[in-house]
Amino acid sequence: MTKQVTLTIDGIQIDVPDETLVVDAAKKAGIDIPVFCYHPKMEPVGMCRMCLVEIGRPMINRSTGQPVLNEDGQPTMQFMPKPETACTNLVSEGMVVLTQSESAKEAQKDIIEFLLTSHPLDCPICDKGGECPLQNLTMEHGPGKSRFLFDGKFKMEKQIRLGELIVLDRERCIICARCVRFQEEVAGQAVLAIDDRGRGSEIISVSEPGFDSVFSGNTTDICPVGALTTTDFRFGARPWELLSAASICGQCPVGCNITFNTRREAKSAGKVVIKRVMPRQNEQVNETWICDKGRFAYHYAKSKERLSKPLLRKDDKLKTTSWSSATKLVAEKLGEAGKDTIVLASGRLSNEDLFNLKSLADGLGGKAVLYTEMGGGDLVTQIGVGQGTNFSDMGQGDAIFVIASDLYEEAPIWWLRVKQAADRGAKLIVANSRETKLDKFANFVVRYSNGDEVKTVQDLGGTGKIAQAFSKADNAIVLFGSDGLGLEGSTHLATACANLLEETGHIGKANNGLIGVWPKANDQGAWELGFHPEPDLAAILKGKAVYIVGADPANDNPALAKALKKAKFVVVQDLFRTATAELADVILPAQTYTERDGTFTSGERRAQRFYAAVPGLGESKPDYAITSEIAEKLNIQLEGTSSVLVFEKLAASVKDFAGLSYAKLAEVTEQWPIVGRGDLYYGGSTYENTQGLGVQLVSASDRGETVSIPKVRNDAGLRPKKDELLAVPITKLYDRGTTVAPTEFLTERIGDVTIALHPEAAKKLGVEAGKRVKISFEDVEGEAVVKIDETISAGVALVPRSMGLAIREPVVIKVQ
Amino acid sequence: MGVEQKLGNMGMVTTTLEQFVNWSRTRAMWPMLFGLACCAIEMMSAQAAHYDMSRFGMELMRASPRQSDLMIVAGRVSRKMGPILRRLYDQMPEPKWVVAMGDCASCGGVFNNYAIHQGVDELVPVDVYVAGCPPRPEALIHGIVTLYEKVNGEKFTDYTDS
Amino acid sequence: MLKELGRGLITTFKMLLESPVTIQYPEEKRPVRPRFRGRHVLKRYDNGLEKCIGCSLCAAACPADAIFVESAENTDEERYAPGERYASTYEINMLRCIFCGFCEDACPTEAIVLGANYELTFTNRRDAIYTKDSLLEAVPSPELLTPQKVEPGEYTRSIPEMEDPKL
Repeated sequence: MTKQVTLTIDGIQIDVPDETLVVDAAKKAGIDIPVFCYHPKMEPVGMCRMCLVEIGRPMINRSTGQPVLNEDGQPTMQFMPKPETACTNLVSEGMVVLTQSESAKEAQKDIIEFLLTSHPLDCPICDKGGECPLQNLTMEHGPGKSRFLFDGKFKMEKQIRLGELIVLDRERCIICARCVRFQEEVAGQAVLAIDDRGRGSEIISVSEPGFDSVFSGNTTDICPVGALTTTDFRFGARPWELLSAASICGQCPVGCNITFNTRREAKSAGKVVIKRVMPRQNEQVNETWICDKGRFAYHYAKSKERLSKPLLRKDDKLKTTSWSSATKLVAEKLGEAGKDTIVLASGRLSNEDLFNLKSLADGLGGKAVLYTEMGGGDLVTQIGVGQGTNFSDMGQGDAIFVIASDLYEEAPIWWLRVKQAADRGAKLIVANSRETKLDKFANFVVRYSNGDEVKTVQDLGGTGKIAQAFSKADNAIVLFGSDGLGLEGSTHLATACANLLEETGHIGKANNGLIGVWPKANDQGAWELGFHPEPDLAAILKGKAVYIVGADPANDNPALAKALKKAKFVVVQDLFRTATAELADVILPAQTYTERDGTFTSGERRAQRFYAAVPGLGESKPDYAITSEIAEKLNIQLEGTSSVLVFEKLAASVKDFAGLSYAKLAEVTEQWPIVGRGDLYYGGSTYENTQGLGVQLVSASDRGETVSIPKVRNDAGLRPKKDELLAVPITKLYDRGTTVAPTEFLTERIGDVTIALHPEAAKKLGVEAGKRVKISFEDVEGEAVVKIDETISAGVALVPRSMGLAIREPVVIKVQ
Repeated sequence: MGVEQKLGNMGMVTTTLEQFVNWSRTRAMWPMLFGLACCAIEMMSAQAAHYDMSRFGMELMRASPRQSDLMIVAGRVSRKMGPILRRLYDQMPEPKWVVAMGDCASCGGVFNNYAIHQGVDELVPVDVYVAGCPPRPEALIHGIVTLYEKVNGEKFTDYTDS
Repeated sequence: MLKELGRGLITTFKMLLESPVTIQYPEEKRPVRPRFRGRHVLKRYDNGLEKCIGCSLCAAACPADAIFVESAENTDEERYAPGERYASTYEINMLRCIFCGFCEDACPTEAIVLGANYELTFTNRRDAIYTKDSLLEAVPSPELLTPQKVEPGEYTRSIPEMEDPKL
């Protein structure tokens, strides 16, 4: 327990733990001390001098160690002759802080005047104008008039592309170094730096390609001036014109809390569209950050390719039809099929959609299949992380084990938080068959050869140094992914991980348990609701009525495309006219999660609410409503009028959701640091969370129930034989999936489809880096650009998922 | 005006019946008093000596809807006034026209709120909208001239539906 | 009583001798006062570039919410206005506008000016929305039309150079 100290700020007495900075203490007391360079999530540097205040400390008699008292019996205060910075001074017992004294105010006024000597007065065209700390503080503390000459203003470059996502305006920069420090301290990627010195100081990117970080967008939030802007929102709208709607990012299983800023747009024919995505504070999920994928890859929602009307196949051609005739036909066909119905849904859907789909499948006696390439979710539902889990609470004495997952590419915010836990002293064990960006921060790096995943986990249950670090830890979390694995491999891996956690007793409490790094945002929710993947999907599709929702199997697997052609009836419910939709008898247009209400279950098993931000496109409907419409015609009673009603039903019938309601998910508590209110200078332009922090689900192990984890079979996965090249799938952050590719300015980051080879393998094949090669495996043929990676084994090639090559699991390939 | 031809010095003109009717309608279009706010002051001014709308056949403002052809809605129409406006409009004999004078009558103007109709076209069919807050008397007259142009272009077939 | 009647009639007869005050409006137009605020005009610089930089401050100042601005980025290949930003969409709903002139006051580049035209009557509400094309000032010669192709680095600042106040 830390010591509490009492101090007085502007006459208000407060108790705060020692080692609190004066600026934070004042914030807690409700007093705003102006800052530019200070940020509550970063170490103070005292660069901008904006937080100058008068600080007095009680005079101590050096011989007695007691405070010197004045005539009134009060301690005598000793003030420094000049004001001090509130952001670098720690509180101490009996301290008196004056933020409104003449000298403090004078000092703040002078700092503003000085900062403005070279700051351009182009607020009218500045994207920050309206939510700009410098603007606000100038209005509040500024002198109103400058004693400096306009002619003396520095003229610098106004448009420097640090990367393809971030633009720097050198003239506006006040060298607070928040961006540089964010990249160094928070993101752990020092890709920005300050060049030169004095008035010539400038921010530069020191990476190739420029500003090579997936957290780059956050620097625009914390920039206290308009120096850093995103290419996406550049000149998009003025901040005061935007409306906001709370949401949850649907790109990965982290479930970052975000806010959509919307506006009516002439370019989109007068429709209300999303103009930008901003982070929303949730200290247990994403703190105040989001990754660039979440921030920029939202454009698919307003893509012109979206389906807006139901389509029906007539004479082998898809023609638009009405909702009633489309659903009538679907209901008829599904009713005919009865037990032969297969509902194939993906983790892109919300809990409500999945619940309705599951209920429909159950009502018909059919099968609800989760379309995924990663297994093990049934184990996570049992021994998932305990209630109250928060990576921010992990540190000294705790352990985090990441296996077969490249968190940086799969779930960047987890990467950030795991890395920070390691910084605080948590033992980080990273096991992968190749080098990932997390290795740099790991205490132990385990490099296994593909196929040894299960063995690697089992070794951790042994007596080695690493095993000890894991088993002896107070708290331990295992994050497992599907890097280099398919459905089967990841299922085995999950079982091994679950066994490890059970053996070491790291289940059933906060900061302990299993986390799946799923490919989709709500895969965990699908598992919770009873969806399971099918090992041999192609085999069971034949002759069945298939209801495919939010998945594109025909594109991902040629074998499935063939199988679907043999199916009796195919109905596809999606956003886009995908390859699967082309095979369908009926296509039903669904709404994106930006257009409707619902909930997602994050990988940490946190149910979180998202709200509608924009009106639905055309005649499209929410998935749960479409399902209920079909069910109604089959005399299966489902809720479809509102997602609230679906969730009520869901909470009543699914054990882990018991007691939850939309109202409960919308509850908020006070969070520290206090951000997103009127004082944009303190925490940046992150939004305050007033729409709900979500609730972590109670798992079976949380309730103390015995969990049944199957014993893992010790058979190793597929291994490359001699003279064979085994391609394994890996995940890239920016891929060609339908939720990323429509964002045009990301094309450069998405890049070409690559195949990573060991130098020896490349030599053997006679190819070089950058060469285009022909690849073939099973029914798939394609081209890829060769990349050389020394960290993988010679018989293995890395092929990214969702990049045009339909790779799902380790497979032997031919390269020409 | 529809003078098609003048025959010699016989002092006769020929025209179509349609044009003749339209011509006569624009020569004695009596407006109904519907001053609701500030625009009414400008409307009065337009009627008075300096602008003198009687030059356009608008000899006087009628207080009775039964004797008027044109409703000049001058001012913002509150939700309470709405039904009354509609009723008075219904009491006017056909053919009848409506001019929405000023921003408030046209689309609510600055009063973008729940108490004010966002344009009288929510209640009655409007023929001409006059912008201004309030419009100058000239602007109102310009609106009347625009209305006359419209009336002159009307066809008998336009009335067949009503 | 007769006296009063007589006095009144004297005024009447006096007026008979005076010339009529009626302004024959459509034919004869009374000039407006110099500070009259009528239909808006979007001004240009002498070189044809638009003064409007698409900052939306007019829209923010507008009490009637009559102005809609959407901006985009200028390039030297296609330059509309000096600086980085220009208005890609600029619309004023003349029926909403109350001609208060706040937009004129808010404009940092003096791009929007309220002119003298008050003859704004429409037969439908859609026509009342004036787009950028109709609001922009005419150019004397076609080569001054925007977008223009300009030398790089010439027009880098949106706001005209400011000068120190003369002491």
